[in-house]
Amino acid sequence: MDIFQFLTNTLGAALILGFLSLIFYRENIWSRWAEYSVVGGIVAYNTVVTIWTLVDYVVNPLMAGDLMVIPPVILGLLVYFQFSRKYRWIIGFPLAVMSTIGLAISLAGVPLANFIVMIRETAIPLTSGTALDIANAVTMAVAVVTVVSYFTFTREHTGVLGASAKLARYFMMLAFGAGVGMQLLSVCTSLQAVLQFLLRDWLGLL
Amino acid sequence: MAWYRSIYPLLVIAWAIVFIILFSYYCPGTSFDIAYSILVRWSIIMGSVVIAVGLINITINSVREVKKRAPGRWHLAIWQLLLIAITLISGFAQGKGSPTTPGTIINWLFSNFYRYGDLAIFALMGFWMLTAAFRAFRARNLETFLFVFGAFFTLLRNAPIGGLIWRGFPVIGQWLLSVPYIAVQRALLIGIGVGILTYAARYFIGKEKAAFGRVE
Amino acid sequence: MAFAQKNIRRIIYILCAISLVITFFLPLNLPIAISDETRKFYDTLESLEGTGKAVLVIFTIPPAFWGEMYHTMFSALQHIFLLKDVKLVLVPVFAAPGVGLVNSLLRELYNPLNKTYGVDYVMLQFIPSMVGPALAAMADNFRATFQTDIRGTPIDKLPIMENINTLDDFGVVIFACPAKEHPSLAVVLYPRYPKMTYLAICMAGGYMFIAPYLGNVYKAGLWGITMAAEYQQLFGGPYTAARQQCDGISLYHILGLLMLVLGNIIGFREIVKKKGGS
Repeated sequence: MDIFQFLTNTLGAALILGFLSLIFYRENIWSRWAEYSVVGGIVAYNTVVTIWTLVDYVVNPLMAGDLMVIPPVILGLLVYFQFSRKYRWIIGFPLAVMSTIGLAISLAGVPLANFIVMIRETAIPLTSGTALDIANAVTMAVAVVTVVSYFTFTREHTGVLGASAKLARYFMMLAFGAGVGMQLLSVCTSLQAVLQFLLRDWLGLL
Repeated sequence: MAWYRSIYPLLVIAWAIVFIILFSYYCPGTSFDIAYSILVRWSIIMGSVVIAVGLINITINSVREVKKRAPGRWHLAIWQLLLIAITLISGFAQGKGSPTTPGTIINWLFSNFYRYGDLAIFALMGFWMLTAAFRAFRARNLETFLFVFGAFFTLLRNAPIGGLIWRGFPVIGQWLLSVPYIAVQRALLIGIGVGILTYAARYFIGKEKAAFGRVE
Repeated sequence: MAFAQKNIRRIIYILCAISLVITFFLPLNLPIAISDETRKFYDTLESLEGTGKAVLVIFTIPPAFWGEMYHTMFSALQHIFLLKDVKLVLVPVFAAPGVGLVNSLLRELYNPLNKTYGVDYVMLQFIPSMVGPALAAMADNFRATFQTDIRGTPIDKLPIMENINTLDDFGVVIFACPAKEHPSLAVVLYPRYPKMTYLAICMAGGYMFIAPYLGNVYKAGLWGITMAAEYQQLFGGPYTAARQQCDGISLYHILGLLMLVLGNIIGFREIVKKKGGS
């Protein structure tokens, strides 16, 4: 490893060690330096990449005569009025357009993706397969129905609904425990990558 | 309050957009399809144009910290502003492909600096989750016992060594992930779907003023 | 004892770090069993060999999750590059840093495997918006959504894009994102193209977002480094970093189990003490 590469890696290592000092020790100037560096840098990088895409989405079509790119640019620029106390109300218009497009696109697909597919996949396995498959399918169907009932707040959870909600809690705790196990796999992989960088790329011990 | 500052013109816009999109979606092959395409493209362009809002916010906060000479922070705020300036100048001066082309300043900063910070922030959870396993994941009743049970067998399923200790561990862990876990996620998705529909109903009758930037 | 109690979290942190790195110095070479899900993902891609079809990989990967996503992305892209007569089209969405990260990954792959940009693989222009509208734009009119590739070359000048006009022209669509963006594909893309074959790549922690869709929307998924290591074994790839890391992952998980059990024993003793005292 040459000296320039070592110094380059030292920069990355300094950031990582700054964050590690936060948890091994406590908040200090080094960890705060790391925070400020990452926050400012990543936001600036995102801004550069995204602004350059405007060349493809706005400048080139405009030069080709497509004037339909002008209204979204104007609407997007209106968002910057949020920094003005007097004209802040103007941002309502671009927000109305952006939020509604996103919400409407989701609304269109929710009946199929969130309802029909889920109910179909819960119901169909009840009718076919081995005894074990059907037992699993029944367990799944009971879990789905009870958990949906748990999130029904229009009635007090007493009687049948109360029993159903209690069973739902058991299923949910089982699932959340499994979720924690999966999350642990994610975070340990990332942590290992960080430690690997420190030991291999920076210190050359691996 | 003037009518143009109220929520009503925004609701008219929202209703028009949702009508176009839903009509084009459920009844394709009409002239609404062109309007739908235009709206989707507008969404992408607007998303690009508003990207600098976050950067402006950070810059304003940093300048404020420098002006106030916030103890322990104002030097770092100057450093942050310097980094932002270097990134922006090198990113725009070195051309369109510079953020991803090796050899440019902005690419060098990202590949050797920024990305490790972002990675480290998430990786810290690797430490915290183990201490949480020790301190917080304690079985005090049936529900918390089931939580610990689920975590226990999933850990043994995920680790390759689990199958070597006992063949049953991955089987139980896999069952947990295939049956109760998926069932609960399905139920949550159904609940999320109901939530989206409820939110949409409130949105389109003007109850969600914050979504329109009309915060009281 | 007082020192241990006062610094228990630091002791756990140090043990955690040791468990993850010690196997780099003392490898255990634990065998890894290949799961059905990994095999399904592999077989789906393998079925494309010789068809001349292209694989569309839509990705949004922030740097925070690259440590894990790298392995699954590497495995999948390497497999696609190894398949005969299969092309690769990549589309970056939403997370800008993902472009640089996947570019650096491609640099590791295309040279050893003799792949030519624009002919065998291409990365189209970045779509900066949220995932939902980006997928909607692709579903609506794939060709019109992209005027150029990521380098600025007009799309009509790329040989790989000759016969690609709509999403139907792809053999498989892979959606690679860490977690919560996966339902967007189910909500936006799947209703418009229900017959398309979709595959998911995500983090292990993001499994909750793809689990309900596996087997219906998504034909198969790849999550976590252990699945990446399994995948590498299937096509005998020379890359074994994922496999090497799995030893440390195993030790970390054993440590996690120990912490869980120890914590519960201590908790149980405290409950017994309290009940005995009262």
